[in-house]
Amino acid sequence: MGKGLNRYEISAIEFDWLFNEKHGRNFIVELTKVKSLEIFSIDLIIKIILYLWGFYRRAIVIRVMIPFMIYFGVFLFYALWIHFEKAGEENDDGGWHAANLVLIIIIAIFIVYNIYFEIMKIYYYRDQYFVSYWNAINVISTSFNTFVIIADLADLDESVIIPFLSIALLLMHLRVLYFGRLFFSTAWMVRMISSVTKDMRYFLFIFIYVVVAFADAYLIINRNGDPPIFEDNFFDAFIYSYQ
Amino acid sequence: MGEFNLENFDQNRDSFILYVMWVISTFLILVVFLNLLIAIISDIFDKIHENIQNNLIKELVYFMVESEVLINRRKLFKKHKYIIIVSRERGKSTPVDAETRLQIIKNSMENQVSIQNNHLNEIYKRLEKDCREKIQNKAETLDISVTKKMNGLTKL
Repeated sequence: MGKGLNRYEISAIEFDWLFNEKHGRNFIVELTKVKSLEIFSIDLIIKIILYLWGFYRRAIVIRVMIPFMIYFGVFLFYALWIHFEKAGEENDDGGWHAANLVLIIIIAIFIVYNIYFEIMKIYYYRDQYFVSYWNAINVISTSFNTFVIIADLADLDESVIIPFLSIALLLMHLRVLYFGRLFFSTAWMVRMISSVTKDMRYFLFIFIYVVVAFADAYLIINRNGDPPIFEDNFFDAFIYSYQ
Repeated sequence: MGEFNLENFDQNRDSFILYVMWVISTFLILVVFLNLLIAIISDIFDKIHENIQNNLIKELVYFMVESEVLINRRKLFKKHKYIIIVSRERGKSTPVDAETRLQIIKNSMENQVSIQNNHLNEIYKRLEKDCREKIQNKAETLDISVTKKMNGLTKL
């Protein structure tokens, strides 16, 4: 073997049905139903998935990620700065009002784009659409964002808009995590967050039950105090017990 | 969590019960449950981390199923028939346990011993052959000289 030359292996996979609309789709759907992780260590499966992933990744980046990042940036700009400057501006024809209106129009365009995708997904996945928590986050976030811009256009009181704006911004940040699944270095972390949340449900039930048990006990004994430790209601008792 | 407010405890008529309750709840919620929480998360982390490659592929599969609506297979894979993989050749390794490793070492040793034995046999055979040839030559020389001497004696 000469210097600087390397030996290469060339192999081919001939499963043309993989690219077929029905069978190809069924193949990956069936893979998600397999409970054992062993199947994902088979070399052939890895090669097929990584090959197909290239096409999916490109589509996700171009059609979802880039538009969302622009949407997110505009929303961030609107929520953290422009909206509050506009709220403080006395003149209704002022610059902040104009800037606010421009951002609302841009956000509205992105909301329509989002709704279009969500409707496409609902049409495509039917009842399965509602199983995914990522879809739930998308729907709730889009609803909050829609409410916020409508409330802003309708000139509702700032104190009404603020809690919705706060939750809307939090949900937008959560949606950024969705794109963490696109990259090899962060995909397993996002999976871990969802696995931890899923596996902890029984623990959380017992934990909350114990907190509630002590909250009830505190609530009763608190009635013998002068002054009491907290207000005489279950919510304050729960927060006290949790603390 | 961990922000204790004991300010009005002494003003309560049942402050002793309140303190006992507080100690038990603090121990249960802060010590037991928080440690249990950490243990559960560590366990899940270990499970995911030891199969990190498989989990990654699984996550990609889930993501692909969720994003199926974004691609048009008919258009995208119109001319696709094969997946051709070109990769640099490398030694294939498979995960082995201790017993298999020992067996591999044993086989390798036996192989080496057999090679050495063959080599020694060859040397032995070559030596034997050389010795035989030399002895034969010597014997022939001796035989000639003895014959000559015998012939001389016969003439006398």
